[in-house]
Amino acid sequence: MNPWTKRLCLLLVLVVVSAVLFAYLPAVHVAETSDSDEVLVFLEEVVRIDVAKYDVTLLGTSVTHPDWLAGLAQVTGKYSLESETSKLDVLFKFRNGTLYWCLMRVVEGSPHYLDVPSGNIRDLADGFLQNYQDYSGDSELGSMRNMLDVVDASENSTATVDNLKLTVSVTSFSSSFDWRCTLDGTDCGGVDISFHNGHFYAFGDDRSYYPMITQ
Amino acid sequence: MKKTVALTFCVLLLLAVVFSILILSMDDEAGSHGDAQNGDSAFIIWGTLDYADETYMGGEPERNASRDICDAIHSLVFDTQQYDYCKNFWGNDTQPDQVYGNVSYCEENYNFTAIFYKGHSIGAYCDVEGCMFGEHWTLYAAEGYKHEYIMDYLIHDRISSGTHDFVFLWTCGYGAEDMIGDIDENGHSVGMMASWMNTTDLEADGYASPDGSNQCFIGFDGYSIFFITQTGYGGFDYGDFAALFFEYAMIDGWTVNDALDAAAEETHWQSSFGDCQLYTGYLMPDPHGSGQYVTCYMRVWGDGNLKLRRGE
Repeated sequence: MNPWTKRLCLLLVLVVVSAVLFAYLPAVHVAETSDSDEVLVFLEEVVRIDVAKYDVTLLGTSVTHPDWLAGLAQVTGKYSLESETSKLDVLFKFRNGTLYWCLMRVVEGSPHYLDVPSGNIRDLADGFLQNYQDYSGDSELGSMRNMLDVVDASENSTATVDNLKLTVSVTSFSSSFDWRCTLDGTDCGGVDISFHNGHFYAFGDDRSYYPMITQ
Repeated sequence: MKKTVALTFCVLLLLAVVFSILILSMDDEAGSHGDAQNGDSAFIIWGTLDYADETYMGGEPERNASRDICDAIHSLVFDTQQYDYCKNFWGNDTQPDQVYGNVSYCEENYNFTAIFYKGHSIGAYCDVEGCMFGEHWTLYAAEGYKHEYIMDYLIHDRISSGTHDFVFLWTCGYGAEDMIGDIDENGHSVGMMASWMNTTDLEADGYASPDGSNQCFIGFDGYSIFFITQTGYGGFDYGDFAALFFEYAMIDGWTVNDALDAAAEETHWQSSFGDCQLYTGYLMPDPHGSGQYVTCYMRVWGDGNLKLRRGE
Protein backbone atom coordinates (compact mmCIF):
# COMPACT_ATOMS: atom_id res chain seq x y z
CA MET A 1 0.00 0.00 0.00
CA ASN A 2 1.53 3.29 -1.04
CA PRO A 3 1.64 6.22 1.43
CA TRP A 4 -1.20 8.11 -0.31
CA THR A 5 -3.53 5.12 -0.13
CA LYS A 6 -2.66 4.73 3.56
CA ARG A 7 -3.45 8.41 4.18
CA LEU A 8 -6.72 8.12 2.27
CA CYS A 9 -7.79 5.05 4.30
CA LEU A 10 -6.90 6.85 7.54
CA LEU A 11 -8.88 9.87 6.39
CA LEU A 12 -11.91 7.71 5.60
CA VAL A 13 -11.76 6.03 9.01
CA LEU A 14 -11.57 9.45 10.67
CA VAL A 15 -14.55 10.66 8.64
CA VAL A 16 -16.68 7.66 9.66
CA VAL A 17 -15.72 7.92 13.35
CA SER A 18 -16.32 11.69 13.38
CA ALA A 19 -19.68 11.24 11.65
CA VAL A 20 -20.88 8.75 14.24
CA LEU A 21 -19.71 10.99 17.08
CA PHE A 22 -21.40 14.05 15.53
CA ALA A 23 -24.60 12.11 14.90
CA TYR A 24 -25.05 11.01 18.50
CA LEU A 25 -23.75 14.18 20.11
CA PRO A 26 -27.24 15.84 20.24
CA ALA A 27 -28.60 12.90 22.25
CA VAL A 28 -26.54 13.96 25.25
CA HIS A 29 -28.23 16.76 27.18
CA VAL A 30 -25.72 17.85 29.75
CA ALA A 31 -28.03 20.19 31.65
CA GLU A 32 -30.86 17.67 31.69
CA THR A 33 -28.64 14.91 33.04
CA SER A 34 -27.27 17.03 35.85
CA ASP A 35 -30.81 18.22 36.68
CA SER A 36 -32.21 14.72 36.84
CA ASP A 37 -29.27 13.44 38.93
CA GLU A 38 -30.43 15.98 41.49
CA VAL A 39 -33.68 14.01 41.80
CA LEU A 40 -31.76 10.98 43.02
CA VAL A 41 -29.95 13.15 45.57
CA PHE A 42 -33.35 14.49 46.71
CA LEU A 43 -34.75 10.95 47.01
CA GLU A 44 -31.78 9.90 49.11
CA GLU A 45 -31.36 12.96 51.33
CA VAL A 46 -34.97 14.07 51.78
CA VAL A 47 -37.21 11.03 51.21
CA ARG A 48 -34.43 8.77 52.55
CA ILE A 49 -34.73 6.18 49.80
CA ASP A 50 -31.74 3.84 49.53
CA VAL A 51 -31.19 4.59 45.85
CA ALA A 52 -28.13 2.29 45.70
CA LYS A 53 -30.44 -0.72 46.09
CA TYR A 54 -32.21 0.08 42.80
CA ASP A 55 -31.50 -0.11 39.11
CA VAL A 56 -32.33 3.41 38.00
CA THR A 57 -33.68 4.26 34.54
CA LEU A 58 -34.40 7.76 33.32
CA LEU A 59 -37.52 7.63 31.12
CA GLY A 60 -39.09 10.40 29.05
CA THR A 61 -38.24 14.01 29.74
CA SER A 62 -39.45 17.23 28.19
CA VAL A 63 -38.26 20.81 28.27
CA THR A 64 -40.83 23.58 27.92
CA HIS A 65 -40.92 27.33 28.37
CA PRO A 66 -44.48 28.00 29.61
CA ASP A 67 -45.93 31.50 29.37
CA TRP A 68 -46.57 31.58 33.09
CA LEU A 69 -42.86 31.19 33.79
CA ALA A 70 -42.05 34.19 31.64
CA GLY A 71 -39.85 32.13 29.36
CA LEU A 72 -37.96 30.23 32.05
CA ALA A 73 -37.26 26.58 31.29
CA GLN A 74 -39.27 23.83 32.92
CA VAL A 75 -37.78 20.33 32.75
CA THR A 76 -40.21 17.48 33.40
CA GLY A 77 -39.23 13.84 33.65
CA LYS A 78 -39.67 10.38 35.08
CA TYR A 79 -37.41 7.83 36.72
CA SER A 80 -38.09 4.16 37.21
CA LEU A 81 -36.32 2.58 40.20
CA GLU A 82 -36.40 -1.19 40.25
CA SER A 83 -35.02 -3.85 42.59
CA GLU A 84 -35.99 -7.51 42.96
CA THR A 85 -38.59 -6.67 45.58
CA SER A 86 -39.55 -3.06 44.95
CA LYS A 87 -40.46 -0.82 42.06
CA LEU A 88 -40.93 2.95 42.24
CA ASP A 89 -41.91 5.50 39.62
CA VAL A 90 -40.66 9.00 40.33
CA LEU A 91 -41.91 12.10 38.50
CA PHE A 92 -40.14 15.42 38.76
CA LYS A 93 -40.13 19.00 37.52
CA PHE A 94 -37.42 21.62 37.61
CA ARG A 95 -37.98 25.32 37.10
CA ASN A 96 -34.92 27.25 36.02
CA GLY A 97 -32.73 24.44 37.33
CA THR A 98 -34.44 24.16 40.74
CA LEU A 99 -36.24 20.95 41.68
CA TYR A 100 -39.69 22.11 42.78
CA TRP A 101 -41.91 19.01 42.33
CA CYS A 102 -41.40 15.34 43.00
CA LEU A 103 -43.93 12.51 43.17
CA MET A 104 -43.10 8.93 44.12
CA ARG A 105 -45.47 6.13 43.20
CA VAL A 106 -44.92 2.74 44.82
CA VAL A 107 -45.61 0.36 41.94
CA GLU A 108 -44.52 -2.89 43.57
CA GLY A 109 -43.39 -4.00 47.03
CA SER A 110 -42.22 -1.64 49.73
CA PRO A 111 -39.55 1.04 49.20
CA HIS A 112 -35.99 0.45 50.44
CA TYR A 113 -35.35 3.18 53.01
CA LEU A 114 -32.13 4.36 54.58
CA ASP A 115 -34.00 4.95 57.87
CA VAL A 116 -37.17 3.24 59.04
CA PRO A 117 -39.95 5.81 58.50
CA SER A 118 -42.21 6.77 61.39
CA GLY A 119 -45.68 5.28 61.53
CA ASN A 120 -47.00 8.62 62.78
CA ILE A 121 -48.14 11.00 60.06
CA ARG A 122 -47.11 14.14 61.96
CA ASP A 123 -43.62 12.74 62.49
CA LEU A 124 -43.42 11.75 58.82
CA ALA A 125 -44.17 15.33 57.81
CA ASP A 126 -41.75 16.73 60.38
CA GLY A 127 -38.98 14.35 59.32
CA PHE A 128 -39.50 15.23 55.67
CA LEU A 129 -39.30 18.97 56.38
CA GLN A 130 -36.21 18.55 58.53
CA ASN A 131 -34.48 16.59 55.75
CA TYR A 132 -35.61 19.16 53.21
CA GLN A 133 -34.24 21.94 55.39
CA ASP A 134 -30.87 20.17 55.63
CA TYR A 135 -30.91 19.55 51.87
CA SER A 136 -31.86 23.07 50.87
CA GLY A 137 -30.41 25.10 53.72
CA ASP A 138 -33.66 27.06 53.88
CA SER A 139 -34.27 28.39 57.40
CA GLU A 140 -37.89 29.36 56.63
CA LEU A 141 -38.75 25.66 56.77
CA GLY A 142 -38.14 25.81 60.54
CA SER A 143 -41.27 27.94 61.06
CA MET A 144 -43.25 25.50 58.92
CA ARG A 145 -42.08 22.63 61.11
CA ASN A 146 -43.08 24.51 64.25
CA MET A 147 -46.64 24.83 62.93
CA LEU A 148 -47.04 21.06 63.04
CA ASP A 149 -47.31 21.47 66.82
CA VAL A 150 -50.46 23.60 66.56
CA VAL A 151 -52.57 21.35 64.31
CA ASP A 152 -54.05 17.89 64.64
CA ALA A 153 -52.35 15.99 61.80
CA SER A 154 -54.85 13.15 61.97
CA GLU A 155 -57.84 15.20 60.73
CA ASN A 156 -58.71 18.15 58.52
CA SER A 157 -57.43 21.25 60.27
CA THR A 158 -55.89 24.65 59.67
CA ALA A 159 -53.64 27.02 61.58
CA THR A 160 -52.30 30.46 60.77
CA VAL A 161 -49.18 31.99 62.26
CA ASP A 162 -48.17 35.43 61.02
CA ASN A 163 -48.30 35.24 57.21
CA LEU A 164 -48.13 31.46 57.05
CA LYS A 165 -51.19 29.20 56.86
CA LEU A 166 -51.02 25.43 57.29
CA THR A 167 -53.87 23.27 55.97
CA VAL A 168 -54.02 19.58 56.81
CA SER A 169 -56.27 17.46 54.57
CA VAL A 170 -57.01 13.85 55.33
CA THR A 171 -58.82 11.86 52.63
CA SER A 172 -59.28 8.19 51.82
CA PHE A 173 -56.34 8.54 49.44
CA SER A 174 -53.79 10.65 51.27
CA SER A 175 -52.80 12.92 54.14
CA SER A 176 -51.48 16.23 52.92
CA PHE A 177 -49.85 19.28 54.51
CA ASP A 178 -49.98 22.58 52.71
CA TRP A 179 -48.10 25.65 53.96
CA ARG A 180 -48.99 28.85 52.11
CA CYS A 181 -47.57 32.28 52.71
CA THR A 182 -49.42 35.50 51.98
CA LEU A 183 -48.10 39.03 51.78
CA ASP A 184 -50.68 41.82 52.02
CA GLY A 185 -53.41 39.30 51.21
CA THR A 186 -51.63 38.01 48.09
CA ASP A 187 -50.52 34.42 47.78
CA CYS A 188 -46.81 34.06 47.25
CA GLY A 189 -46.38 30.32 47.02
CA GLY A 190 -45.64 27.66 49.56
CA VAL A 191 -44.69 24.08 50.29
CA ASP A 192 -46.95 21.05 50.24
CA ILE A 193 -46.30 17.40 50.91
CA SER A 194 -48.56 14.38 50.90
CA PHE A 195 -48.34 10.80 52.08
CA HIS A 196 -50.16 7.77 50.69
CA ASN A 197 -50.31 4.43 52.54
CA GLY A 198 -47.66 5.64 54.98
CA HIS A 199 -45.12 6.52 52.27
CA PHE A 200 -44.06 9.87 50.85
CA TYR A 201 -46.21 10.59 47.78
CA ALA A 202 -45.81 14.14 46.52
CA PHE A 203 -43.94 17.33 47.26
CA GLY A 204 -44.12 20.80 45.75
CA ASP A 205 -42.31 24.04 46.57
CA ASP A 206 -43.35 26.93 44.34
CA ARG A 207 -42.01 29.77 46.51
CA SER A 208 -39.26 30.64 44.04
CA TYR A 209 -41.30 30.30 40.86
CA TYR A 210 -44.92 30.94 41.75
CA PRO A 211 -46.92 31.04 38.45
CA MET A 212 -47.00 34.56 37.07
CA ILE A 213 -50.44 34.41 35.46
CA THR A 214 -52.84 36.92 36.95
CA GLN A 215 -56.59 36.43 36.84
CA MET B 1 1.75 22.82 3.40
CA LYS B 2 -0.32 24.63 6.04
CA LYS B 3 -2.98 25.37 3.42
CA THR B 4 -3.16 21.68 2.49
CA VAL B 5 -3.66 20.66 6.13
CA ALA B 6 -6.35 23.31 6.64
CA LEU B 7 -8.13 22.26 3.47
CA THR B 8 -7.98 18.58 4.46
CA PHE B 9 -9.41 19.45 7.89
CA CYS B 10 -12.30 21.42 6.31
CA VAL B 11 -13.10 18.59 3.90
CA LEU B 12 -13.01 16.12 6.82
CA LEU B 13 -15.36 18.28 8.86
CA LEU B 14 -17.74 18.73 5.96
CA LEU B 15 -17.83 15.02 5.22
CA ALA B 16 -18.43 14.25 8.91
CA VAL B 17 -21.36 16.63 9.03
CA VAL B 18 -22.86 15.17 5.82
CA PHE B 19 -22.49 11.60 7.11
CA SER B 20 -23.97 12.64 10.47
CA ILE B 21 -27.05 13.96 8.76
CA LEU B 22 -27.34 10.74 6.77
CA ILE B 23 -27.02 8.62 9.94
CA LEU B 24 -29.65 10.68 11.77
CA SER B 25 -32.08 10.53 8.87
CA MET B 26 -31.68 6.74 8.76
CA ASP B 27 -32.45 6.67 12.50
CA ASP B 28 -35.62 8.67 11.98
CA GLU B 29 -36.88 6.23 9.38
CA ALA B 30 -36.27 3.02 11.30
CA GLY B 31 -35.50 4.22 14.79
CA SER B 32 -36.85 3.46 18.22
CA HIS B 33 -40.34 4.64 17.29
CA GLY B 34 -40.48 3.31 13.76
CA ASP B 35 -43.61 2.26 11.91
CA ALA B 36 -43.81 -1.14 13.53
CA GLN B 37 -44.02 0.42 16.97
CA ASN B 38 -46.04 3.59 16.77
CA GLY B 39 -48.28 2.41 13.98
CA ASP B 40 -51.87 1.28 14.09
CA SER B 41 -53.28 3.82 16.47
CA ALA B 42 -55.91 6.54 16.24
CA PHE B 43 -56.75 9.65 18.27
CA ILE B 44 -60.06 11.45 17.76
CA ILE B 45 -61.61 14.53 19.33
CA TRP B 46 -65.35 15.15 19.24
CA GLY B 47 -67.34 18.07 20.66
CA THR B 48 -70.66 19.88 20.52
CA LEU B 49 -71.21 23.50 19.51
CA ASP B 50 -74.14 23.88 21.91
CA TYR B 51 -73.29 26.01 24.92
CA ALA B 52 -76.55 27.97 24.85
CA ASP B 53 -77.22 27.92 28.58
CA GLU B 54 -74.82 30.18 30.43
CA THR B 55 -75.42 28.84 33.94
CA TYR B 56 -75.22 25.13 33.23
CA MET B 57 -73.20 25.00 30.00
CA GLY B 58 -70.92 28.00 30.37
CA GLY B 59 -72.24 29.94 27.37
CA GLU B 60 -70.11 31.46 24.62
CA PRO B 61 -66.89 31.67 26.69
CA GLU B 62 -67.05 27.92 27.39
CA ARG B 63 -67.77 27.17 23.75
CA ASN B 64 -64.74 29.22 22.63
CA ALA B 65 -62.53 27.65 25.27
CA SER B 66 -63.70 24.18 24.18
CA ARG B 67 -62.81 24.96 20.57
CA ASP B 68 -59.40 26.39 21.48
CA ILE B 69 -58.43 23.65 23.91
CA CYS B 70 -59.51 20.88 21.51
CA ASP B 71 -57.41 22.59 18.81
CA ALA B 72 -54.46 22.75 21.17
CA ILE B 73 -54.82 19.10 22.21
CA HIS B 74 -55.04 18.01 18.58
CA SER B 75 -51.95 20.01 17.63
CA LEU B 76 -49.79 18.67 20.40
CA VAL B 77 -50.89 15.06 19.85
CA PHE B 78 -50.50 15.40 16.09
CA ASP B 79 -47.01 16.88 16.46
CA THR B 80 -45.80 13.82 18.36
CA GLN B 81 -46.47 11.71 15.22
CA GLN B 82 -47.54 8.88 17.51
CA TYR B 83 -50.94 8.39 15.88
CA ASP B 84 -51.49 7.31 12.28
CA TYR B 85 -55.01 8.72 12.31
CA CYS B 86 -55.27 11.89 14.38
CA LYS B 87 -58.40 14.00 13.89
CA ASN B 88 -60.10 16.91 15.55
CA PHE B 89 -63.81 16.70 14.69
CA TRP B 90 -64.87 19.25 17.34
CA GLY B 91 -67.80 21.34 16.06
CA ASN B 92 -69.78 20.79 12.89
CA ASP B 93 -68.10 17.46 12.17
CA THR B 94 -69.45 15.97 15.38
CA GLN B 95 -72.45 14.30 13.71
CA PRO B 96 -73.88 11.00 14.99
CA ASP B 97 -73.28 9.17 11.72
CA GLN B 98 -69.74 10.44 11.52
CA VAL B 99 -69.08 9.25 15.07
CA TYR B 100 -70.50 5.79 14.31
CA GLY B 101 -68.58 5.63 11.02
CA ASN B 102 -65.32 6.49 12.76
CA VAL B 103 -65.95 3.91 15.45
CA SER B 104 -66.27 1.23 12.72
CA TYR B 105 -63.27 2.57 10.82
CA CYS B 106 -61.00 2.65 13.88
CA GLU B 107 -62.15 -0.76 15.11
CA GLU B 108 -61.32 -2.26 11.73
CA ASN B 109 -58.05 -0.46 11.07
CA TYR B 110 -56.29 0.36 14.33
CA ASN B 111 -55.01 -1.60 17.30
CA PHE B 112 -55.59 1.28 19.68
CA THR B 113 -57.96 4.22 19.61
CA ALA B 114 -58.07 7.14 22.04
CA ILE B 115 -61.18 9.36 22.23
CA PHE B 116 -61.69 12.78 23.78
CA TYR B 117 -65.21 14.25 23.80
CA LYS B 118 -66.17 17.69 25.17
CA GLY B 119 -69.84 18.50 25.60
CA HIS B 120 -73.02 17.43 27.31
CA SER B 121 -75.07 14.38 28.22
CA ILE B 122 -78.78 13.64 28.01
CA GLY B 123 -81.07 10.65 28.38
CA ALA B 124 -83.06 9.25 25.42
CA TYR B 125 -84.96 6.12 24.41
CA CYS B 126 -84.25 3.55 21.73
CA ASP B 127 -86.63 1.66 19.45
CA VAL B 128 -84.83 -1.66 19.71
CA GLU B 129 -87.32 -4.46 20.19
CA GLY B 130 -87.02 -6.14 23.57
CA CYS B 131 -84.79 -3.43 25.08
CA MET B 132 -85.02 -3.78 28.85
CA PHE B 133 -82.82 -0.85 29.74
CA GLY B 134 -85.39 1.92 29.56
CA GLU B 135 -83.47 5.17 29.32
CA HIS B 136 -80.24 5.28 27.27
CA TRP B 137 -77.38 7.74 27.74
CA THR B 138 -76.35 9.93 24.86
CA LEU B 139 -73.92 12.70 23.91
CA TYR B 140 -74.78 16.00 22.28
CA ALA B 141 -73.76 16.15 18.62
CA ALA B 142 -72.74 19.44 16.96
CA GLU B 143 -76.17 21.09 17.02
CA GLY B 144 -76.96 19.90 20.53
CA TYR B 145 -80.26 19.99 22.39
CA LYS B 146 -83.33 18.60 20.60
CA HIS B 147 -81.27 17.49 17.61
CA GLU B 148 -80.17 13.95 16.91
CA TYR B 149 -77.96 12.69 19.75
CA ILE B 150 -75.02 10.28 19.71
CA MET B 151 -76.61 7.12 21.12
CA ASP B 152 -74.68 4.73 23.38
CA TYR B 153 -75.98 1.48 21.84
CA LEU B 154 -75.32 2.68 18.27
CA ILE B 155 -71.66 3.20 19.22
CA HIS B 156 -71.57 -0.31 20.64
CA ASP B 157 -73.16 -1.73 17.48
CA ARG B 158 -69.99 -0.62 15.60
CA ILE B 159 -67.54 -2.24 18.03
CA SER B 160 -65.82 -5.24 16.43
CA SER B 161 -62.20 -5.63 17.59
CA GLY B 162 -62.65 -3.88 20.93
CA THR B 163 -59.73 -1.47 20.47
CA HIS B 164 -61.20 1.76 21.85
CA ASP B 165 -58.88 1.53 24.84
CA PHE B 166 -58.84 5.12 26.06
CA VAL B 167 -62.04 7.15 26.26
CA PHE B 168 -62.13 10.52 28.03
CA LEU B 169 -65.61 12.09 28.11
CA TRP B 170 -65.59 15.66 29.45
CA THR B 171 -69.33 15.65 29.99
CA CYS B 172 -71.69 15.16 32.91
CA GLY B 173 -72.38 11.93 34.70
CA TYR B 174 -70.92 9.11 32.69
CA GLY B 175 -68.08 8.41 35.14
CA ALA B 176 -70.53 7.61 37.95
CA GLU B 177 -70.81 4.01 39.11
CA ASP B 178 -74.52 3.83 38.32
CA MET B 179 -73.96 5.12 34.77
CA ILE B 180 -71.16 2.93 33.44
CA GLY B 181 -73.89 0.88 31.77
CA ASP B 182 -74.59 -2.68 30.81
CA ILE B 183 -74.61 -5.06 27.84
CA ASP B 184 -77.38 -7.63 27.51
CA GLU B 185 -77.15 -11.16 26.07
CA ASN B 186 -78.06 -9.85 22.62
CA GLY B 187 -75.19 -7.36 22.63
CA HIS B 188 -77.51 -4.40 23.18
CA SER B 189 -75.83 -1.84 25.41
CA VAL B 190 -76.57 1.11 27.61
CA GLY B 191 -74.08 3.63 29.02
CA MET B 192 -70.97 5.19 27.51
CA MET B 193 -68.27 3.10 29.16
CA ALA B 194 -70.00 -0.17 28.31
CA SER B 195 -70.67 1.01 24.76
CA TRP B 196 -67.30 2.49 23.78
CA MET B 197 -65.15 -0.03 25.62
CA ASN B 198 -67.34 -3.15 25.48
CA THR B 199 -66.82 -3.83 29.18
CA THR B 200 -68.32 -3.09 32.57
CA ASP B 201 -65.55 -4.79 34.52
CA LEU B 202 -63.01 -2.00 34.91
CA GLU B 203 -61.68 -1.04 38.35
CA ALA B 204 -63.70 1.87 39.72
CA ASP B 205 -60.61 3.75 40.96
CA GLY B 206 -58.05 3.18 38.24
CA TYR B 207 -55.95 6.04 39.63
CA ALA B 208 -55.36 4.58 43.10
CA SER B 209 -55.58 0.93 41.98
CA PRO B 210 -54.78 0.48 38.26
CA ASP B 211 -56.24 -2.87 37.17
CA GLY B 212 -53.73 -3.74 34.43
CA SER B 213 -56.51 -4.08 31.85
CA ASN B 214 -54.84 -1.71 29.35
CA GLN B 215 -58.17 0.09 29.11
CA CYS B 216 -58.94 3.40 30.74
CA PHE B 217 -62.15 5.41 30.84
CA ILE B 218 -62.24 8.91 32.34
CA GLY B 219 -65.55 10.62 33.03
CA PHE B 220 -67.32 12.74 35.58
CA ASP B 221 -69.43 11.63 38.51
CA GLY B 222 -71.97 14.43 38.73
CA TYR B 223 -71.53 17.62 36.73
CA SER B 224 -68.38 18.07 34.67
CA ILE B 225 -66.41 21.17 35.53
CA PHE B 226 -66.24 23.94 32.90
CA PHE B 227 -63.02 24.53 31.00
CA ILE B 228 -63.32 28.20 31.95
CA THR B 229 -63.64 27.50 35.69
CA GLN B 230 -60.56 28.76 37.51
CA THR B 231 -58.69 26.15 39.50
CA GLY B 232 -57.92 28.81 42.12
CA TYR B 233 -54.19 28.60 41.53
CA GLY B 234 -52.07 31.01 39.52
CA GLY B 235 -54.81 31.95 37.05
CA PHE B 236 -55.14 28.45 35.61
CA ASP B 237 -58.47 27.01 34.50
CA TYR B 238 -59.65 23.47 33.75
CA GLY B 239 -59.00 23.92 30.04
CA ASP B 240 -55.34 24.30 30.99
CA PHE B 241 -55.62 21.10 33.01
CA ALA B 242 -57.06 19.19 30.01
CA ALA B 243 -54.40 20.47 27.61
CA LEU B 244 -51.57 19.77 30.05
CA PHE B 245 -52.93 16.27 30.68
CA PHE B 246 -52.51 15.39 27.01
CA GLU B 247 -49.15 17.17 26.80
CA TYR B 248 -47.76 15.06 29.64
CA ALA B 249 -49.46 11.88 28.42
CA MET B 250 -47.45 12.19 25.21
CA ILE B 251 -44.07 12.00 26.97
CA ASP B 252 -42.23 8.74 26.40
CA GLY B 253 -42.89 6.26 29.25
CA TRP B 254 -45.59 8.36 30.93
CA THR B 255 -48.89 6.82 32.01
CA VAL B 256 -52.39 8.29 32.33
CA ASN B 257 -51.80 8.57 36.10
CA ASP B 258 -48.47 10.35 35.57
CA ALA B 259 -50.12 12.84 33.24
CA LEU B 260 -53.00 13.43 35.66
CA ASP B 261 -50.53 14.09 38.48
CA ALA B 262 -48.30 16.41 36.47
CA ALA B 263 -51.27 18.38 35.08
CA ALA B 264 -52.92 18.62 38.50
CA GLU B 265 -49.69 19.79 40.13
CA GLU B 266 -49.20 22.53 37.60
CA THR B 267 -52.74 23.88 37.80
CA HIS B 268 -53.66 23.39 41.47
CA TRP B 269 -52.27 24.20 44.90
CA GLN B 270 -51.90 20.48 45.50
CA SER B 271 -49.08 18.32 44.19
CA SER B 272 -50.98 15.35 42.80
CA PHE B 273 -54.24 14.41 41.14
CA GLY B 274 -55.11 12.37 44.25
CA ASP B 275 -54.85 15.49 46.41
CA CYS B 276 -56.69 17.92 44.10
CA GLN B 277 -60.40 18.63 44.00
CA LEU B 278 -61.05 16.71 40.78
CA TYR B 279 -60.35 13.56 42.79
CA THR B 280 -61.46 14.66 46.27
CA GLY B 281 -64.62 16.42 45.04
CA TYR B 282 -65.69 19.90 43.88
CA LEU B 283 -69.00 21.74 44.11
CA MET B 284 -71.22 22.54 41.13
CA PRO B 285 -74.63 24.26 41.06
CA ASP B 286 -77.46 21.73 40.90
CA PRO B 287 -79.92 22.48 38.07
CA HIS B 288 -82.56 20.47 39.94
CA GLY B 289 -82.32 22.35 43.24
CA SER B 290 -82.39 26.10 43.30
CA GLY B 291 -79.31 27.46 45.01
CA GLN B 292 -78.13 23.98 45.93
CA TYR B 293 -74.69 22.59 45.17
CA VAL B 294 -73.64 19.00 44.59
CA THR B 295 -70.23 17.39 45.06
CA CYS B 296 -68.82 16.06 41.79
CA TYR B 297 -65.71 14.10 40.84
CA MET B 298 -63.53 13.18 37.90
CA ARG B 299 -63.39 9.38 37.86
CA VAL B 300 -60.65 7.24 36.35
CA TRP B 301 -61.87 3.74 35.54
CA GLY B 302 -59.61 0.79 34.71
CA ASP B 303 -55.91 1.09 34.13
CA GLY B 304 -54.26 4.35 35.17
CA ASN B 305 -50.98 2.79 34.04
CA LEU B 306 -52.10 2.86 30.40
CA LYS B 307 -49.70 4.76 28.15
CA LEU B 308 -51.13 7.00 25.45
CA ARG B 309 -47.77 7.32 23.77
CA ARG B 310 -47.91 4.12 21.80
CA GLY B 311 -45.23 1.68 20.86
CA GLU B 312 -44.08 0.68 24.34
